Amino acid sequence: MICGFCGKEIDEARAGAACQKCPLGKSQCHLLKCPRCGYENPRTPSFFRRIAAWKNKSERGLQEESHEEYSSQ
Amino acid sequence: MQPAAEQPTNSQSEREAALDGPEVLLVGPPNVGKSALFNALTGSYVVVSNYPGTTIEVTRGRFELGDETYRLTDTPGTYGLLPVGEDERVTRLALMQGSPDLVVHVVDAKSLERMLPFSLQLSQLGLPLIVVVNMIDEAEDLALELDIDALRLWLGVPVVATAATKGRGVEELKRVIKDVHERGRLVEREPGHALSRVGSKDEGICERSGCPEPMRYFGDGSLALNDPKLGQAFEELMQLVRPLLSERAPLAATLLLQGDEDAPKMLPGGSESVLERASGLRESFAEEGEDPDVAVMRRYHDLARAWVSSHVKGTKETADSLSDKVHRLVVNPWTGIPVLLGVLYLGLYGFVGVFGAGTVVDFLEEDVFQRFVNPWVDGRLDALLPGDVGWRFWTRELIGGDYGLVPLGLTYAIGIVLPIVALFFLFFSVLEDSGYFPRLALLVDRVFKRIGLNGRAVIPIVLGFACDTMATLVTRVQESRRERIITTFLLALAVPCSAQYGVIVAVLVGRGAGMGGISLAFLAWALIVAVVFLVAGAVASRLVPGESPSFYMELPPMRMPRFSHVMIKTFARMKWYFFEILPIFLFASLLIWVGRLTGIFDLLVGAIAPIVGLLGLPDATSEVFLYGFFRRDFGAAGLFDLTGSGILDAGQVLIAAVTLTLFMPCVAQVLIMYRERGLRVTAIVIVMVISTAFSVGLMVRGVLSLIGGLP
Repeated sequence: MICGFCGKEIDEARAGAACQKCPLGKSQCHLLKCPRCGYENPRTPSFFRRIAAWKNKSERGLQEESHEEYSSQ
Repeated sequence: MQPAAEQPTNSQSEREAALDGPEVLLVGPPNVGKSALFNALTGSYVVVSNYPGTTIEVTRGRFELGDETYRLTDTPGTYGLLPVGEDERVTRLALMQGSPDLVVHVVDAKSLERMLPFSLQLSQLGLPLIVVVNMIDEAEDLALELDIDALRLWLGVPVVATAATKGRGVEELKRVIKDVHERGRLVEREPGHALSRVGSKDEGICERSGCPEPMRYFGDGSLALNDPKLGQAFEELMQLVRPLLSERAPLAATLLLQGDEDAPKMLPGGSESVLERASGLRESFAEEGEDPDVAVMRRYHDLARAWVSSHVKGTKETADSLSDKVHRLVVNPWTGIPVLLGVLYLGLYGFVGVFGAGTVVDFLEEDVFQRFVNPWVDGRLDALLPGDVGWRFWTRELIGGDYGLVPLGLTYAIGIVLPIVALFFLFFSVLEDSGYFPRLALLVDRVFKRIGLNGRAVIPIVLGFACDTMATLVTRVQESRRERIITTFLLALAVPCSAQYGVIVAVLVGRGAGMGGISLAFLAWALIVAVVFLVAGAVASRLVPGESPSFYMELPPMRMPRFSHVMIKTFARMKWYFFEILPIFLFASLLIWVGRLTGIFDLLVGAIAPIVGLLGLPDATSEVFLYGFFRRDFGAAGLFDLTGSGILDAGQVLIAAVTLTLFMPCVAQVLIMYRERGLRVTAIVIVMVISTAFSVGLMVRGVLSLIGGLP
């Protein structure tokens, strides 16, 4: 994810770890805190994450298919 | 590969720190890919913990090279050894008081001129140092040609080019880390030769051929500044400090010369004569109107600039892109402020206020809820639970009637607040994705300094326009307690949240005569709230002790907002907001129902009525203020409802809107304030907010009486 304030890439796994000190507790909130500038970005909803994962999977599948076709030729 | 999802705890971090193995410290400015390099080296294994004695979090991990396990610490981003904020202080503490076996300085290949001054400073530490020129792929994409061998020679330390996100150069870095650790402090003797150890202290590595003027190294690898006066002062301090500190003498001498407050702690007891001499040298600079701190940093920058201009090709600026032009337009105060006002007018007033709170809310609230949903619910309830007394009546009132779950909770949440918030979030996400917010921070930095804040406060203030509760949490990004208190106070007082703002605009649009297409009542409201914000900030900055730290940040490029990003962010924020407000609005309706059932509601309304009466408002407005205690937007929605019935004139609407905007923060915000700032600060803020809100309301009433109301 790209931070909406400083424009840099946020590693979602590490940003989540940085939320451990949050007074709201360990429950997952909808925000992802940028470790660089502190801006809180909305997390991508799971629905969109699933679509992105499905799209990536489809693209990888297509690439593998075309690679196999190329190899067989 | 280590597991990536371990939960960090204090005890874990302590165990981590206690592990044997060489410690490698990753340092460098923000946004140069330190985290990516950390992940590439450790395989994402992280333990996040506070740096001892501070609230700043550092990330620790480990990786193996050969038979040895190395401990890796990723420090907060910093541009130099003299700290500006607490996070930078952590990096310096780790360098000065920690005992790293190796320092890896990560720099951005695209911005060497800004990065190399810190590399030069670090070379003074007397610790084994490796410079990593990261993002080399991005530099290549920009057709920049960097002479890495020349940089290695110039700095006198190993330099490795990497593209950490792609794993490029990481294996070479590991090899160099292993070499440097096993063979001690290493420097390049000649281009193309293997790394070799520096011998005696007298072996000045840059006194040989190929060493660029105007700098030279001492035998221990430290840097002397070839400025006649600075160099002389530095060498004099070095003579005094070297017998006391062997390896860190160059660093201590530089920091003493710069007047760093922590530098004396580096010296052993009984070093008063050294401190006196350092003070004397600084005074001699001051007598000539010079600041040795600035002079040292300027010298580093001059050296870096000279090296980059002769060794980096392709740095000449190409023709201005549209992004550059827009950037200059929005950061220059002469053009930036009109642009800001234009953005606010088109986005907040036109799009969110007039279209969202006017057209869309009119449709949803009046056409959908008032005309269809509410009458249908009432009709069904009348049929199912007939009668005007007893449990049937009260059950009907709980669900329908004037204050039930549907006409109050559901109508306010879906019919009034949600459409406004949705359009606000859409507008907000467009600005966010364009890269405008950091430029806004730069633009308002000077104004914010007058109220005890700096440009960084834009983050919580801007977020406050979305939700003040969330913004109160975000005040933690600010550097000092003073700033956090002032921002918390201003958020509670004079920053309306999106729903409250939208509803108030809807209430004020068309009230009073217009001016340039904007309703006079709205202009008056915006002006009053802005003045209260600035005056309250200025007063708070004088009452809350402390100094405002300086502000700087690296600006990302301006870019065209991406449709998919904007829609996803808007949807994410809407979803969160809706699921948060709906239960609260329904709960508030339930409380009001209980209050009416027990008579407490009427009692409270009666208690508020005299105060509301002082403001020249009818008794019915008391209910709106009572709603405001639950949530700001709930109160604003109540005002919207009330103005629809036409019992308030333009002046009364303005008084109610101003007082309600400045009035009590909502329950959630109070709770977060208490958690973040403590009971004392929260109590003071609430008293200040309520008294200011009613005082300003009374003043507005007085002024309106004098001028005979709104034209």
